[in-house]
Amino acid sequence: MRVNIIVSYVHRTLTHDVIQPAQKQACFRYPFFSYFMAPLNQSKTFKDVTCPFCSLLCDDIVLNNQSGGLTIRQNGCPKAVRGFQRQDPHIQPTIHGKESTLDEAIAHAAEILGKARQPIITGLGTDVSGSRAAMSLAEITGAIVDHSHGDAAVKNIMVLQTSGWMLTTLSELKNRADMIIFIGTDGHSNYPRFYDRFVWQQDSLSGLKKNAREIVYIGNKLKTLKGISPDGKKPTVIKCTDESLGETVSVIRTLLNGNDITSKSISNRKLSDLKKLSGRIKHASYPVFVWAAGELIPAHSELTIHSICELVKELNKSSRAAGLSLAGSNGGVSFLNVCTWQSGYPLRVNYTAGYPHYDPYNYATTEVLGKTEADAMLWVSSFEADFIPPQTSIPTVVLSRPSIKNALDAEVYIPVGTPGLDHTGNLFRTDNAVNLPLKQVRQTGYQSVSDILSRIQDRL
Amino acid sequence: MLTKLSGGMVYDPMHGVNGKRRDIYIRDGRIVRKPSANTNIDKIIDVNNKIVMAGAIDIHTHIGGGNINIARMLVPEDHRADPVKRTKNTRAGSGYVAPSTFTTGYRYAEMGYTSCFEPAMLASNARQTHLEMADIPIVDTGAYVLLGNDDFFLRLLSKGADQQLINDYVAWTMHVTQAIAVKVVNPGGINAFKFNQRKLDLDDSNKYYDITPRKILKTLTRALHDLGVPHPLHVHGCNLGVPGNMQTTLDTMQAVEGLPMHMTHIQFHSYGTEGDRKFSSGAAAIAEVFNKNKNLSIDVGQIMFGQTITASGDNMMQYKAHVHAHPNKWVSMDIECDAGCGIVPFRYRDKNFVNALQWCIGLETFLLADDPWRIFLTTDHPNGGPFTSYPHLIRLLMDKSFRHDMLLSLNRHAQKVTNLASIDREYTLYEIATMTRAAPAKSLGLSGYGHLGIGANADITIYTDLKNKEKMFERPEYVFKSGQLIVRKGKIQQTTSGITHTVKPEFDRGIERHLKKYFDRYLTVSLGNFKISDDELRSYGKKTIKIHACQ
Ligand code: SF4
Ligand SMILES: [Zn+2]
Repeated sequence: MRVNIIVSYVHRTLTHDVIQPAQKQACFRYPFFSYFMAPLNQSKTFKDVTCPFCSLLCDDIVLNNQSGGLTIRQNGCPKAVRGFQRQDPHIQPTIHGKESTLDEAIAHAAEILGKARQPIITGLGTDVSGSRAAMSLAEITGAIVDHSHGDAAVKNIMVLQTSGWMLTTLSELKNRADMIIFIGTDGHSNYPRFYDRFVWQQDSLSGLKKNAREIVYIGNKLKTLKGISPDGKKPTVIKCTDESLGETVSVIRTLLNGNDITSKSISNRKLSDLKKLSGRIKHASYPVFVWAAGELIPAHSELTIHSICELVKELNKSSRAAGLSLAGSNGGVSFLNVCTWQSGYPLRVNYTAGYPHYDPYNYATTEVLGKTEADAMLWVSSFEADFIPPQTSIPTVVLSRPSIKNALDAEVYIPVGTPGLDHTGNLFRTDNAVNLPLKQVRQTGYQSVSDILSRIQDRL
Repeated sequence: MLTKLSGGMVYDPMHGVNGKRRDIYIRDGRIVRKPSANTNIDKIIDVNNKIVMAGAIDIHTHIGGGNINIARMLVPEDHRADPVKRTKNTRAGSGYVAPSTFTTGYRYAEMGYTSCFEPAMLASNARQTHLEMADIPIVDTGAYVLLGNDDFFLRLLSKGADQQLINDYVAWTMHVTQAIAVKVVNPGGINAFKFNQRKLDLDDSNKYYDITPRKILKTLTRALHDLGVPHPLHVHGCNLGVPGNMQTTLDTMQAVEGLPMHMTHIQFHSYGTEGDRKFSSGAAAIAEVFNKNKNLSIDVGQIMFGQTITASGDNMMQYKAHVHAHPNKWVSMDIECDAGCGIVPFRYRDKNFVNALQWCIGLETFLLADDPWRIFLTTDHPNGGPFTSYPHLIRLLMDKSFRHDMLLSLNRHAQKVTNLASIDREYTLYEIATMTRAAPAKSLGLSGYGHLGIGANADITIYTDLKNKEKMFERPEYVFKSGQLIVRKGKIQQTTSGITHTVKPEFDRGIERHLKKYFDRYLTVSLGNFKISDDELRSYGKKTIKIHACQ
């Protein structure tokens, strides 16, 4: 009981879960302490480190490990700083909020998942090998699998599975895109280095010069400063509400197809802006249309993405153009790929019948939990410590980057290492073409998601 | 453990053995000499009168990597119709035309295939390709890396770089992507499509780099020859699928001036423009040139009627083909200043003139090509049809009357214009063993594979000799992988993990200085992270990397 009381005290007093030494002493033992801290004053520098904290996967990070603490020396962004420089607390697994050994926690997790009639394995913020292990466990336990970004991913997937698309990748955009049209996203709020790495570049393979790109924003309250070229040229901004994004894209599509607009719902001024824009799109050699499914309002996103993709296809009848989807951080693109090659479907697959059964709506985590169809949940979040699983009354096993919050609430909690910090691995990038290796840059003794899941599986 | 396969009829073309009764002994995963009389034999399997061949090798099948995974993602309806349940020794998954990785491995093994080669690995997507292949159980795998549309190579050529530098780049790419061969797809055309060119014939210039496909083919065939890579340049030529492309193909055959070259899915490149429908067979003309030019090898890319999905790096031509998409959804991508991909679902219909004639053209090619050591059995899975249709295809080749009956059920006009009915040839078991075992192993330089000699890896398939060759090849009695019994009567007994086949030609590491500059300036990954080390590759799951010798 004592442990519990102190843990809840810690919970209330800590704003971030960086534990002060005295409090650490009070509540947790550290059996690994001696070996998972690098010797004091030892310093090591790592180059070409891949950052796993958004799906751009910048792999030019220079990182210093000073006695186990990481500091970004070159490149990176605030998100990367938060991710790499977070000092993870040294905590134990817990069962019902009480410390346990790793073995006990694994056994208990296996018991919960093994007994469950319909478990759900979700969150799945993990790397490729973590996703592979999760799929294997799902098969054995007859689970549903989904991802924390599933709601956004499914919007893209529905467009793909009904009509398809023409896409490009980041190196192509960097070297060929003379016009970049951001639709409902500014490109950098969730992908901080997008412009620095891919847009405002010195030169390119296709002869495109540094200041020559035209940047266009279509949307509401987008942060457009990054779209100003190094020589001060302002981007084109077409304002429209979130709800009317799809319609605006359709108007551009109509204009590009040489048809006129008669609708009264669009002002003359906006129409004239869109006509000018369409003219420029027609003359661009490689316009790229960028969207982020997670930043579009859910009720309209599928239609908007569909309009963008059809517009791109139509442009390609006579000139080149391409789409680029920004999505799939938190291991999302990796999970979709692994799930596809192992089951045939990208997500929301149920193994209860022994084979993968796909239902992109009914097997959504919120649906499954809301209808109380599931009787146990495994939640995985190895990049973000405090990504809290959805509220539910069913028994929950949580694997996350060490987090006091998670440790308190789950029936079984197991702290795990972060891919690219605590262990090697690999991840897929937003463009669904490139997969990058992750390095191990520190020693914390926390095991990987795939190790823990395999150990759970071995107990079943 | 010493196992004896007793009394089988052995077909081993690498040693000229044509249906001879031979006992085979297996120990530690290899075929060994007949032991001395007093040696204890642990297990004797009676295979009296059964047909014994080496495990089959598929030299061209799209089983892993970004292209096929997008194909899988695109067609849930394909999987829904063919769910695959988990068993106590196999993983769940799904078919059919774009099967999941586990299902791919099991279905290949169940047909007696023990090695499969993914022919279209993008260097920029090599990790994904190997990761997926690591999840294909039982069979060995290997991949051909794509070159010839990447901006680095085209820049080298346009600057007149010398052959030595090109060779270093080719070898470097093979090393860092863990490839066994090099393929070029629509030479220069995928790149040209990025600059809005819609067609690139053998002597047309890529507008931006001012390079012709001919030049690319000559340079790359020379590079592989100089490096001693066993498999010659694997060429998916210009103008895929276009009526009249047979002339391009005939010209391409002569374009490399006698150097070795493999021309893949040649069926799709053998179209004339004769007749009122302006679509005719070029198979006879192409087979004639093929028969004379011993530097060439081909695989067919036979089409099979029914639903499939086409997945190709050739997005210039796949973009054109999208108007035929069935169902109407398709994907095209420009990828990483490296290559591209185009995915178009398609249904081949036996009552459709063009499709029926495509079927005939493939079979004409098989039957008119006279050297099974230089022609390989493929459907370009899944482009012409899924690999699971191989037993049916083998029956078409081995059974003239069956072939004839099939022909009579096709579009009538196609029946009139094909000369298929007049070809009496029936492939023999020896020839089938050659084109599906010995020849691909030889072409890829897989020493110890594709044959049943002493020391060979014990990949062995044993069939019951049936008159119906489709039935016979569909369900072998026994399949051994590296000496382990994997399949008995068409059922998986245990699953193992195959190995990765590679070659690693020598090169001057100085090439990395050029590459480092290029990567830092233009690309979006660092040079160091582009490379897949042996340790990384092994960590995916296939623990053994076999490096085959260069010649
Ligand atoms: S932009 Fe994304 S990948 Fe790049 S450093 Fe920031 S968080 Fe990491
Ligand atoms: Zn192919």
